[in-house]
Amino acid sequence: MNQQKSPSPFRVFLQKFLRQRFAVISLGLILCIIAVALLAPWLAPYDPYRPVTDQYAAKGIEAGRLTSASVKVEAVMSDGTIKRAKELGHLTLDSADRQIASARKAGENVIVNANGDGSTAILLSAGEAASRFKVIVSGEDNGQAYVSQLIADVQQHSLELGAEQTAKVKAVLTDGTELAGMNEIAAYVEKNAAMPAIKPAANDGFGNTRVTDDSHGLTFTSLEPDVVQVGSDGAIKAVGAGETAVKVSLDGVSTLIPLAVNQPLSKPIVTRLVPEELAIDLINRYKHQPPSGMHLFGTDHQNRDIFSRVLVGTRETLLIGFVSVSIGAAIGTFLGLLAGYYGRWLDALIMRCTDVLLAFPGILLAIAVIALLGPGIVNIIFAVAVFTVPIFIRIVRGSTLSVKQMTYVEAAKSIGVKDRVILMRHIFPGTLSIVMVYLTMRIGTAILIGASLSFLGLGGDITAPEWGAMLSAAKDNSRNLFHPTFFPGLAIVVTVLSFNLLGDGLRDALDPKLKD
Amino acid sequence: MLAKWKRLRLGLGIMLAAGLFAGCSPAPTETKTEPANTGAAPAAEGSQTKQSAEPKTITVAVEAEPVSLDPQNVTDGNSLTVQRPMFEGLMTFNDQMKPVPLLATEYKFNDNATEVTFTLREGVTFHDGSPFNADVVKANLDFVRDEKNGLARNNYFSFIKEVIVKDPTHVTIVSAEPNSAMVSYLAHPSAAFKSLESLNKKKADPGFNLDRNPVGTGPFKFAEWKDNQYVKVVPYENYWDQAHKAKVESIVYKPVIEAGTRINMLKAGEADVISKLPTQSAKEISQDSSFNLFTAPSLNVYYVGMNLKLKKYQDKRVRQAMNYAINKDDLIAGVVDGYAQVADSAIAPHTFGYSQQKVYEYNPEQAKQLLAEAGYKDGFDAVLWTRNSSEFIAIAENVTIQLEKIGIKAKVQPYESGTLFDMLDHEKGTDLWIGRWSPGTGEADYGLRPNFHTASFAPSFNNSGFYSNKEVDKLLDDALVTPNQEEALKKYAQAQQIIYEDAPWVFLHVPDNVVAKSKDVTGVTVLPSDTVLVNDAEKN
Repeated sequence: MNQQKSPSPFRVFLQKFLRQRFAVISLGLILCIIAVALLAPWLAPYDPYRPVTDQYAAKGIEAGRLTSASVKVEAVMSDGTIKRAKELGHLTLDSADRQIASARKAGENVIVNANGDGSTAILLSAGEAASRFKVIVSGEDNGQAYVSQLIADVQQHSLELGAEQTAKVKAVLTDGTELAGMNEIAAYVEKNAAMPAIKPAANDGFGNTRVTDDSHGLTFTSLEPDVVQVGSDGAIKAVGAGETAVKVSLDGVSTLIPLAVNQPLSKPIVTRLVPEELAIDLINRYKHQPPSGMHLFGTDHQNRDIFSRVLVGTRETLLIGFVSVSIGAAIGTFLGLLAGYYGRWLDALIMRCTDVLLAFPGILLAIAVIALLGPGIVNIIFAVAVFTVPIFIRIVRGSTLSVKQMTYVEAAKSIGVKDRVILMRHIFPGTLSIVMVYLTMRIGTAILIGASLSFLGLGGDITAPEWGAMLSAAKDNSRNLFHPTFFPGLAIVVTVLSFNLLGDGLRDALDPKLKD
Repeated sequence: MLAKWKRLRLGLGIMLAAGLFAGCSPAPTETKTEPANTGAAPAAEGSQTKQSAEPKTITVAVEAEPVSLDPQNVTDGNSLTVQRPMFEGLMTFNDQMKPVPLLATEYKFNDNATEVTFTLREGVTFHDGSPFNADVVKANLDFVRDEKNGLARNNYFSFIKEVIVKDPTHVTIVSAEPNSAMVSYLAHPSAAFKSLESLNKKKADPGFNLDRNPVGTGPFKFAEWKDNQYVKVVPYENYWDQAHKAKVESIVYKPVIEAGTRINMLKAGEADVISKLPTQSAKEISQDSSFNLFTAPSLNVYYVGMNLKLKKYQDKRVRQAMNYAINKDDLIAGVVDGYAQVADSAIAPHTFGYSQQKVYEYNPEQAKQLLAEAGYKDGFDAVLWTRNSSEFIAIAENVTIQLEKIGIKAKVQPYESGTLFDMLDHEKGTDLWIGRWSPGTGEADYGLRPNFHTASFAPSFNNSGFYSNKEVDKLLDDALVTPNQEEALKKYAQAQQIIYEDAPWVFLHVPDNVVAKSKDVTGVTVLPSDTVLVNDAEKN
């Protein structure tokens, strides 16, 4: 009976609070977020600072095929000997689509690197000889068999003047099939007339001069038409003394037939290049892996696990939120109490300063503070605290003014209680409820400002797993990829929303005017 | 700290200004237009003329506003791109970066390469009607060489000792020392000529702004520069070369800093040509049939510079270890989507005089061993400065992650590029930094000398890491004074070998130029030096 008449204020608050379903859910969420922040180093499945590819081995995950491969390249000389790639002076490698794979000469071998998913062809050339091999990245085979090598031969390399003979040509495709003779090659060219990767570059409107081979089908060219002449069917005729070669080419791939008229062949030349493999399987794991069972939120531009980074980022985010608002609230409450209680010039001074600070938009004030102090998490906390202070001064002063008029404060004053005690024991508790509400609401804002500052690159370490910095790094790619921006963004939204809803709930629960 | 104050003051200033504007009554916005007497200006009378004069304007979205329109007062490629339709020099580079005559018809060196005499093209006039002749050449070169005029390219022309006018069509340039690279230096777009009249105006009135009043001999003349909006050029009717007369009604260069916005503009048809595409978007553009994508190796080299005054970088083994620690292929695939190649010398492969070196192949074990031998078994801490664009930050991040594997813990600090250059020039705590260098002249001397010569120590030039090797100095000096080109090239090759071996940089990659355009536009040329040429462009 007695209890019903004057229920404990805490119980009333609790009853009112529990009736607000959203606020309760938010509180639960916030507790979860705090738990995550504390346990993040143990919860995160990967090291958020390192690319996941470096961590697979330690975690016992089979990384599968490799992102790069070393390919041996040999050159067949005209005298039948074989030379290694490093002995060839200039070996150029040209990838049809470098977004898929690229290659370069490295010491003895050729290193092929996967850059993106798909399949492409890489053309090797040394002088007039050229061969091609295919690269398939992440198993995305386009099913296309490119011309890999041409093998051409004649019966005799040393000719008499006026002698005639016909070259025999054989083509090897990247799938291993051999096309023997002109007819088969012609059939292949006809069938693949529109091969996308090999089709000669159409005029794209760029004025730059290009070195492109216009001929598409099988062609024969004599390097020195004064010595030998060659027809489009491979018929070779010796017309002058000297030494030369006939170049046979098909879709960029070429081989040489050395020929000498009225003299023996002097030094061996490179007739064709032979890559160790015709087709190479690679896997692309460099970056931006989409969300999967292995990486819940996918990976970012440096191939780091976004899920781990979001978890670890929670700690810093909450730290900025809690610490900065606590500092701001403590200073603001203290000054607000003084201003409200003593009034007069002190009030005027504090309130005018507050007015000045409030005249700036919050984010601008924070940027100005960072510009003065330099980037860094401590400075961010300070910056956010600075713009939290005036808000607390205002509301605490207002609340102090009204509590000051209460009879019990007058009574305390009249019996000679010290100002300090009146402030702390009689007035401060009266302002506490409103401070609590604002505190909760401001944490949300503080997190938002903290994230904005680090998004703008003012957060000190831009490589740190911090939500704002993660968004900033991913923003350029947001039109192609959604996961690197979506998940950090979602984390910010959920956290800020939780704090705001909790603040709303607290306000309603603490409002004495709001009846049950 | 000073820079920060400046920035803060600027910020406050902008806020104040914004406040003032907001307070003002909505007065009609006044735009100041240069009184350009354009013969081909789109007529505004009547809709008929408007339709027939459907403006065939080419809009080029560039990555920043030009610093100046005075070719001798800029050092950035972006400003040069905007200036190209208006200005011409004695020589120019073709798209293979070979110097070819332009306003000269021929040139001749004397025997020991101290003098080069140009025969000038006749009948060339400036946009203000004044003729181009030997006096103009002398006046321009003397003007930039005079330190008092404070032009940004003053240093660049310091190789010239004297300019002698022989007769109106012959001019001789005398260098202080034998200099076989002189012709390349004079083919650089900064060696373009302003009209004598505008120079005289400047001399008579120091307040006259050459940056804003460009008068050249190019196929297009200046029409208008609206701050932060565009620079517009229109055809010059009396251009000397009939074959390369302007084919469009105007070219508009719009500064668009955000790469994403440039792409959106291209897609929306607001821009016809856009430069510096983010590599991630390149594929998307290349697959769209209404656009053309251009990619070709540039002359840029990306590197990690180190301050050799610091004890930790003095041991060559440490520097080599850092080179071995970086997996360049991984960086290229990860950061620039394959649109680059491994830097296998201190200069890019298309630079004249380049010689390929043996790449420091990724080898963390060897790197660790070298570090241990040098006495840094547990690595060390470092600070890595970078520009604050997302590409540079991503490179810095990648380098940091890779260096950490051998125990070097680097902290990335991004700065706005102007601030960064200032900090590097005045050694305000230089440790490691991500750098990019492109020899605008396209030849080895300008790729090596500013970065590695002892005389190029910051702030006078770009050697902010204070690398000094007497042998390199001597080779570079000798190469420049060698009239025999083959000999000179051998010396450059030798210098490159020593530099690569000494590893004053961590050599990273040579990126591609990535430029996109709408397929309606033809005749766009991209030079390896980043310049996008639209002088000859047509629009259908």
